Amino acid sequence: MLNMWAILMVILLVVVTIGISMYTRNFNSSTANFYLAGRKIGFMTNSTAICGDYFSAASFLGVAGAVYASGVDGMWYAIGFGAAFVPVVLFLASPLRKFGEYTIPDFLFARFGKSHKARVIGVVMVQLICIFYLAPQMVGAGTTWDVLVGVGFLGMTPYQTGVVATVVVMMFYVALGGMKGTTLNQMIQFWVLFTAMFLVFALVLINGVGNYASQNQPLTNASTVTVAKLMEGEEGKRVYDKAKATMSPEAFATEVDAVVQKGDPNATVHVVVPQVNKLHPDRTMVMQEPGHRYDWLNQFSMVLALVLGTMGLPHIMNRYYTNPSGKVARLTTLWVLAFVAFFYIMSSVVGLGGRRFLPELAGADPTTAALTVDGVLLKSDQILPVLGKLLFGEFGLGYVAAGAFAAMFSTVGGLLIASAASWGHDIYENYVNPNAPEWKKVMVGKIAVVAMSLFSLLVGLGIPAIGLDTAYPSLIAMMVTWAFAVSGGAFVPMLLSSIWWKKTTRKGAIAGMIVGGGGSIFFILMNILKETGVFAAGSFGATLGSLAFPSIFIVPLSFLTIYLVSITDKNQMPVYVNNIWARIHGSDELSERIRKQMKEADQRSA
Amino acid sequence: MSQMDLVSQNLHKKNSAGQDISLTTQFVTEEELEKVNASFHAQRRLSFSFGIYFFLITLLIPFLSGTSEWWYGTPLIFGLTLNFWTTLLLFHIFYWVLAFIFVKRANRLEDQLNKM
Repeated sequence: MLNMWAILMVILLVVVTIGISMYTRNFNSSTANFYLAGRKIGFMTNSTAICGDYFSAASFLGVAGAVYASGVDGMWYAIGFGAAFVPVVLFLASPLRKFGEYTIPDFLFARFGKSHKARVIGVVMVQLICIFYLAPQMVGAGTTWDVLVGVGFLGMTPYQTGVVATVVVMMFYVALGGMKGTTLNQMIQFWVLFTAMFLVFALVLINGVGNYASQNQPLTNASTVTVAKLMEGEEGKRVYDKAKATMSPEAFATEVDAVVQKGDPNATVHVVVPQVNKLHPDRTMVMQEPGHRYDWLNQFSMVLALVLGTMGLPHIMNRYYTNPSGKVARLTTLWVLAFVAFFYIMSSVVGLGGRRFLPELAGADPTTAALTVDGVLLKSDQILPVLGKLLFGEFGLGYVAAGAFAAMFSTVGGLLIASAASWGHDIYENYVNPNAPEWKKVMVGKIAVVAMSLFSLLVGLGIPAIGLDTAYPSLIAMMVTWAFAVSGGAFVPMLLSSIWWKKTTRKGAIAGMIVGGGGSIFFILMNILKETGVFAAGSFGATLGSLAFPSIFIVPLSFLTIYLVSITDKNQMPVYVNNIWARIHGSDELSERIRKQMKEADQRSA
Repeated sequence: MSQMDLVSQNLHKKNSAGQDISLTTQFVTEEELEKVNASFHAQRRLSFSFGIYFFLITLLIPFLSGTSEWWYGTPLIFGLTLNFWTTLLLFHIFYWVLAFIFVKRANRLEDQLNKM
């Protein structure tokens, strides 16, 4: 049935978003205003906007779903996202702001003696990261529309409608509102998604989280298998036998036995079965123990991928240039950490609460019952909207729907502006038409937003067409992790080295980015080829493709490359490095003075 | 000779040689550079010591999850393990407090630098 609350709230969100963009459109008279909101964003506005940028569909829907499905391993995923801003505040926030440029490629250009090569490689990496991050947002938009609104328009499927609607709204509001409009929108979108999460969190706490975790019941999840797969193996050890021992007799009779008796081996059945402990295979998998998602190596590499990857996300790092000073940049991050910590604690509690309320309440609601098997959700990502509905009716579902779209809008908005800054500022202003008037530069930025939006539309519509959505059981979370892996490999070793090791050379930084970014993309492609069945099981390609999170190897390799290339580089310490050092590590006053003097000298040279 | 005189002189010199003066001129005086280096060393010590604590404790969690049953398998409070409480709540508190102390110290360092 059509949820009018969901539709009304999403429409209200879209209207507010467009209204703010119209209101702020006159602010975008210059590129500094269009890309950086005039560098006058205060810490509270900026911290909520950064959170809006950061909390994508994967965070909003995915983390609660991961905790619901996996318990402690799901919470470990939340830790990876949450703690990621600690290295940002320790190593990057203040130096990046003091350096005072527009984008990461700008930083590369200035830090390495006006290196065009470094800047262009930086632009390529920024675009690749944006595409890797935009793709899951598009899948999230289509899937969320499908689940929460469920209606397609103009002959499109609900999935396609969700992708098209999101892209059209985003294209309009980012191109019109620039960084100022995007920041204000992200701030509002953050509060919508934060309060939606708080609503469900509060309802779970008021009604009681339950004791599923402390009772140490075997962790069970629902899945869909063919009858042939169900009956495979020795009697007593088949999936059929495990499901029979786990499910209630009524559910087993209707969901499983009724289908098996028809005799079609290709028919599918929904089963609930106990989960395997990948960390301690001899122990029963329970919710309060680790091991459902990750083996030992992946426990380390997943958290490193998320913690390190955040430091290289261009749409997050660009936000640090909008702060008025280095100190404000640190304070901003502290607030971000507080919001992020509270948000993920809420997500975890919601996920845990799902284990109590679904078996108790799902049967009473036919729509929810259709999404569950014997009281367990078939798709764990639906736990937040389902709990919103079970505990607060249609209004709760509508509010969560608005929160989910707010999460997508804010993240896509940040990515589009980062991508546009990279094309419009780094390429057009520097290489195509350096003498263009301000209005033309802003116009190019807007065209870049439209072009990137249309490309995202193609990616969003193309993913199901090539079957990627069926190759990965939780595609959104997986794709987000890929984006973190590429950003972690491409930018983190380069940024850390060039800020904290004076002897880092241009050649070293370029080599590090190529090894880190290229290596991550290589392993991700291998993984895609393995999962889509291109590589045969046991082949060399499949072995290469088995590394789900390459950061644990790629990041150290990139650091090593930077170090080795830099120490063997003959041009180790040019004169300008001292100026750069003063800009990064000097007082605010000195930093600004050197920046201006370098700019004046540039103008004289020109 | 004042810092600005030095810069102007350098600019003139490098201009006549036809080089990119923003790359071949040192705009910061030796005295200023010394202060920057002192600040850099103090800031690096602070950032990396906090970084080591952060990464050690973060990686200690999966290490204990793989090796220590008292950590992942022994109920402690309300029938739940230390591993559970850490990933649900304690680690979030830890990293915020760590960042808070760091920001206080880093800002104090920066204030000292601005006064120098």
